[in-house]
Amino acid sequence: MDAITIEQVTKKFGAVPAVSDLSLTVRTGEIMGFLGTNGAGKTTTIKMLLGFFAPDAGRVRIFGADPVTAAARSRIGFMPETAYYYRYLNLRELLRFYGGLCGMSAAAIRGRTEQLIPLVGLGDAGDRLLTHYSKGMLQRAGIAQALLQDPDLLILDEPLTGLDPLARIHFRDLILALRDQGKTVFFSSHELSEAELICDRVAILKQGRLVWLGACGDIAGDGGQNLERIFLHLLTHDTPEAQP
Amino acid sequence: MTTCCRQLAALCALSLRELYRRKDVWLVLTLGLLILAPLSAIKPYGVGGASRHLSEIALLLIWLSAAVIALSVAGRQFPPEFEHRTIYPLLAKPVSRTTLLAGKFLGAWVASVSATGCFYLAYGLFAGAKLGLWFPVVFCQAFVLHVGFLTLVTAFSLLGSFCFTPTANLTVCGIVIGGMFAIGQRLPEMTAAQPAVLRALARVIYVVAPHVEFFDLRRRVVHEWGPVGSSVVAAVLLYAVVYAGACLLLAGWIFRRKKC
Amino acid sequence: MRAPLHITVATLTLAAALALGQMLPRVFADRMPQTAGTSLLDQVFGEARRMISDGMIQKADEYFHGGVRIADCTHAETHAENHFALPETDHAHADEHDAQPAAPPRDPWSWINAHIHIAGHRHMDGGQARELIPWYWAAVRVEPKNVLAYLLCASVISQELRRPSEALRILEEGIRNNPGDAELEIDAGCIYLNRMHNSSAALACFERAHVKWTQAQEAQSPVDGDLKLRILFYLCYLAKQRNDTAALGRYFAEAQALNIQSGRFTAIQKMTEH
Repeated sequence: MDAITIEQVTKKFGAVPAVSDLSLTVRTGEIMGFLGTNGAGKTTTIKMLLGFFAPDAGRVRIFGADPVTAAARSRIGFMPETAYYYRYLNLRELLRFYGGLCGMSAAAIRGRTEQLIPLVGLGDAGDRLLTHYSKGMLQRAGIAQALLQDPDLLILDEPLTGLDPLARIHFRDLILALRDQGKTVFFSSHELSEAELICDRVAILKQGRLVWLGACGDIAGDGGQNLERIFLHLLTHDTPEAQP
Repeated sequence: MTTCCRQLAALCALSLRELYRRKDVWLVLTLGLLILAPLSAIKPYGVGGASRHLSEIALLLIWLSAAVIALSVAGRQFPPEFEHRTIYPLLAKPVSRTTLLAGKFLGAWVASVSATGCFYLAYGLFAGAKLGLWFPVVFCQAFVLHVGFLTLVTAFSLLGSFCFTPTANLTVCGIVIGGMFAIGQRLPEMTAAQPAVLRALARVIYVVAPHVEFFDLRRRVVHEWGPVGSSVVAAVLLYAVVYAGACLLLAGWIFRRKKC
Repeated sequence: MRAPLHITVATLTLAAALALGQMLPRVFADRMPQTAGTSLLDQVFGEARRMISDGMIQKADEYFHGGVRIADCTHAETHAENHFALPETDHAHADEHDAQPAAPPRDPWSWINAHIHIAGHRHMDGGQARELIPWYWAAVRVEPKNVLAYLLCASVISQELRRPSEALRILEEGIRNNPGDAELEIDAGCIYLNRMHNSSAALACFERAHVKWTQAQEAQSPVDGDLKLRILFYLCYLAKQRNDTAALGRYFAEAQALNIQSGRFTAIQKMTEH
């Protein structure tokens, strides 16, 4: 079963279309990069995937279920672009809170917390209040909360923002390790080089429309271009249809 | 059921942690002590043994602090979630918006009640030591009704937080609650001589506005009057629950339609 | 460089405010609540201190009535519930007891309010009256010129708590702060006479009260004829005690000149007849 199914989805805010007739499928166990300029409709699509609001037309499914349902959302781990979390909590307490929201038992939360804190590289900062965290550390805390309930699908909105080069490498390794465990990762990004390195497939959105969809392996065969060139070309020229 | 309980417990714990880590309660307790300790040491004109004025000041401080804590804690439940974008990971978890609202309300309520409980405990011990009256029935009734007041105010402020900015919400709720305390009981008599339109308007306000003065047993406690009948206490608590329920239903309706 | 400038501006503003505060009451004499030459506190707060002080006296009155403002009292509830008689009180309570029971509540809100809030009143007695003292104490701290606060406080301490020497100390404080007030002297005299049985000290008080009343009249300040009649009554009583018929006659003549027909005048008349 596909992890994400987006079928002819359209979403308008007033008269302005944010997403137009978008169709996309993310297979289980793959890493899908979701690229586009600011205002291309990436975040709107992600919010529909999370069930924050329904599309005006078309439908969205997560493992075949409506994302509004708790069953669907219990299989999703989401990390927002920039979240300032609860600054009066430390990381352990933050994870305990989110674990509670996921309905996890205290013992399960404790066990998972002790796994995740070193995994995201915050081994020595678990008891420090989040108010003392840097932006990069908050991003890592965000990854930890997204992974908390061991989700099958990870949706990450601009996960590389604020990460230093070392942390990016660490993040890349983490994503690849998750794929090896059979997890599906869907992330939006501006970081084309990073996307090229870790994604199995990439979708490019322009003004709410899907203008390119393909495997990263296809890029090399596409006249020796890299993702950056394709991206630039697509955004500066009229490209009506997405490749299959 | 277990999942829902765990979700509510997590939201309650979050509000409690926020309240006690922000140190508001400790500040209020310290201020109260700083005001009451020197006052209780004063023997005006060499006459000792007077304690009602201390009780009155202590209860006034408790009421003011509890109202401010309840209004601000409840008013802070949702706006910072939107402002700091923590609402997204929150809504992405397998928790319904209804559970989230209920949990936020419960969290604010538990936080306010626990803080007020601390104040009442401190006052009860002080009154017991000073007067030898250890938690009389009317005092316990005053606390129970105060909990009713907090139920109503928490729901009212939570509803306001969906309609106004945090500062405006605090101001509007403060004016409504302060105003009802001052004139709620006398509103129909005060407007009896006014034109029919004004009288009708006053009547609507009288019926719709929260009657916070129902919950105030301070005079009975300070002046050692007898307790109120249990049917009256039950009626007042029922009023608080129904009013809070109506506010929460309305808040839920707005929250479900709110775009994130 | 900026901080000293701010300090200079703030200092100049404060100085200007103080200078205006001193000047304006002189320029707009009788058109402002503040009077020229009064203290800075008076200038700043004007009548507010008096209002707060009066509020505290009202609070004490509320305490005396079991926490109920007598204006709000419907008296329906508490007559049977709890009522203390206070024979020596200065208050006139007869009218309070004539209050009609409240009308039955017309809606659920009124029904709850009628049951939650105290609808009737009761009176404090004896030692309980110590609860009033902090409010009187605060009232005179806020406004030392509030003579009524001194009088009520001394009355409660003397009559209810049976501590006349403490009451006299309060009245002395009141006299120091209000040197022209005759009423404080009268109450001090009454305490000397009735509680301490010291006629000579009482006489000195009543004579000072007599002088102050006369001085106030000469200064064309508003004076109360009943107050003078009260002074004359006690002076007559003490003159009769020591068989000073000349003084008795003099005081009676003064009382006659006031032309006030009251129980007190009749009592003075009777004293001179005997």
